[in-house]
Amino acid sequence: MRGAWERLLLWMARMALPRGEREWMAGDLEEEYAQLRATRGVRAATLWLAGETQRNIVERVSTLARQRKMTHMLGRDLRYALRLMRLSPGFTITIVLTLALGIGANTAIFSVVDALLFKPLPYPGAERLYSVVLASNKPEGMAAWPYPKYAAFAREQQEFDLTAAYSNSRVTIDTGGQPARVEAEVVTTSYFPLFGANAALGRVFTDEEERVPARDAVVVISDALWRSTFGADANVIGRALTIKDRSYAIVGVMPPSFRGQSGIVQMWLPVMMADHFYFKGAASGGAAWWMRPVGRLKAELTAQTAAARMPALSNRVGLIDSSRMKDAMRDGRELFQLRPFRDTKIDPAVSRSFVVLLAAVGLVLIIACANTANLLLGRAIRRQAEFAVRLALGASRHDITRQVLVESLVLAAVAGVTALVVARWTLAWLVTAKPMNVTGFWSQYARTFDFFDVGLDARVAAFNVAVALGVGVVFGLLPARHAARMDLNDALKQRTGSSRFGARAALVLAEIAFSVVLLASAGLMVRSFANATNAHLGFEPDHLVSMLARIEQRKPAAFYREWLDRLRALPGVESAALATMAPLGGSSYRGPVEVEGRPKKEFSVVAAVNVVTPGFFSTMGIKTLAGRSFSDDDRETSPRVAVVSLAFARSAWPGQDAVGKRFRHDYRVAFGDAKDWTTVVGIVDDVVYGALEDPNTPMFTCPSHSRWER
Amino acid sequence: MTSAPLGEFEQIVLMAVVRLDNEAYGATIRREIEARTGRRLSISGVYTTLERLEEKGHLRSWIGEPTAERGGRRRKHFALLPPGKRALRSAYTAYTEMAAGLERRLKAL
Repeated sequence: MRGAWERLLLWMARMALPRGEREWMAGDLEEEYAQLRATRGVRAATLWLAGETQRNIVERVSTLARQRKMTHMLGRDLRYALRLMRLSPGFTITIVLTLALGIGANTAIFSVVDALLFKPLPYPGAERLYSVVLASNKPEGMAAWPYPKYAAFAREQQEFDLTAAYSNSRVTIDTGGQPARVEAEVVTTSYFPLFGANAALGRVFTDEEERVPARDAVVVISDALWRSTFGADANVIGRALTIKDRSYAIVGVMPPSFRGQSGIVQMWLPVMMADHFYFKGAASGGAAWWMRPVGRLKAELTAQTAAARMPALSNRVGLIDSSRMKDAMRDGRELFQLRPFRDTKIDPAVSRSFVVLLAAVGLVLIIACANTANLLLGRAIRRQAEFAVRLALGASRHDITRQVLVESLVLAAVAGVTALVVARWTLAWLVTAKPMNVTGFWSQYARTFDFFDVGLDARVAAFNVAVALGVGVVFGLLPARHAARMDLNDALKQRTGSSRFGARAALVLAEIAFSVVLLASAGLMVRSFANATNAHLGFEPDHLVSMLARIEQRKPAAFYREWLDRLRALPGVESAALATMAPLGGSSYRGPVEVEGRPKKEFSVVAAVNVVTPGFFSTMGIKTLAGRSFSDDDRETSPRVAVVSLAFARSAWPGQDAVGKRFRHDYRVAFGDAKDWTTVVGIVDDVVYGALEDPNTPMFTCPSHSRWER
Repeated sequence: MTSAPLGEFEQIVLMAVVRLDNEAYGATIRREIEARTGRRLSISGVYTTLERLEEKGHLRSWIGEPTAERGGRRRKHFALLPPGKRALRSAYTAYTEMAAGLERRLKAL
């Protein structure tokens, strides 16, 4: 398997070969490279290839020049340029590094922008893939549906060649050793053919496995999981892993290139099994809104025609659909809408910031060019006597221009190659710098980067070469013009004219102007960052440590209690608490809440819920604004109580004291089907649970017994 | 047909073609010369000389079948033509005649 770096080198070596003879010469190159690689290793082969590329370029340039009877002059210019570079290493290194940073940053950011904006998705008919969402009060619509609704849609539709649905889930698997939490994708059988993926070993799911809930316990695993957990066992098909006490047979292993829609999927589960590993009815009922439908539009349909047919299709599906819509989704808004699938992969915020970044590094490159041009101009002025002698000895002004241009191009070429190294480091940093457990921009960034293989490839290399050549011409032109237009008489008499300073002054001015723009933008960015770090979080992040644990036990309460006791006993731990949701940790359950004394239809608050142990608020430093927080007296047998956030209190009981008021909620996973009223015992400050830029969501918090002590 | 005498590198290339017989194409010719003379050659450098020899009528070439080891690319094979054979023989004769009896002294140089 050859890496991107090797392929890039091979491509560059091929491009250095003359066009007419390229096929057999490239064949020779390939053959020799493969042989060297097999006998003497990748390193030796790569070194040979690099040398070969250089020799081929020299050969090709001299052949081209010979054909135009310029070999003598160009060769001399080239030699002269190289000698000049060697003679003033400090000067050369300064210029090469300045340009390499500029070009390298541009190459790196371009490769990201290229992947995000221009490259097609790696699927068959990628441009005809559409997500189907339900129109809702959110502009982006509801992308996730209950499975029965999707199934009805898939049966009724005639607009797509193929449709599939998928969802993300984290599942604990046991393979006999340590239980492990893995990224899973829950999919319909059509998912694999839709994305053109087939198993490298074994098979993908069959139609039969999408018929009966919780019957066919099978999984397909990723190449990564196959290697890490099963030691790349060739006989892994038929082995089993355990999920929630049930044995799942491994039926397939995907190739390394296929990593699901999040880019980090380790395992695929058939949707029907959700009734087992998620909860009963997850697949067969209408409660779980989690499957994301995608379809490949028929070739003969345009997006507009298909979109025009969606209302009729929505009605047909609505009539036969067995899943019930939630309150927020009623009022005839259950309408299918098409969204290009590509748009769901690329967060506009992420691609926008990289376009901004590309502009910024473009500016840096311009500054680097201006700087370099200035240095070269300075040198050209010092070399006036030399040019004058050349002119006097019969060189044409054209010769001098060419020579100076060749010098700058050679510098740019060396910088361009160095820039590839810079770009590679920058990219490695961009790809790995994915802070975990951060919401908002960074989580979208991580998602986007996981999915796209951002790296140096032929397109990026072409960009790099184009930029380097462009830069060479740009910063070489001014000194070249200067050298060619000087007054021979003055120069020979070592007289300095005043005109040349005009150009240098203009360059310096341009540099300063661009630097000011860049500095101002950077300053603004730093200020937004400072604002973000000073934002009102609602809790005290100092000395706060959070960790995530998922324990799959029948009666986890004893475990949690002991865990908490031991944590509190640790030296250096002041206090500790458990919660289902940590601030800045991202999404959670959100649902409508019914406020006592108000008609359900007319008024409801959509609120998030957290479940915590006593001591949570003091541990987090969340201020109690009114009433009390929880104590050990809030038991399962005592009346249901909750602490609500300021935003909750304000939207449910505007202008009134919320303490003592009652509401009812639908958080079934934790509370069974009980529909008792919950009494507000306290009000706390709003806490940022999602992204920083999100407005504070109304929130209520319940004591933990209901969840963990059942 | 009389033509200019062969250059030193041209002789080496022609001898490699003779030596390789049916297996003479860019990669093998380059490897043969590199292995025997220790000279570092570029692929395009070898082709430049091969094409010049072809233009002079010393060599002929034909395109072979694509193979998988070459990434599906075809080979360009080379073989000597009568003028090439004559030129190589005369170069060889001139060389051996001039070197006759000097072997020991040449090696001692």
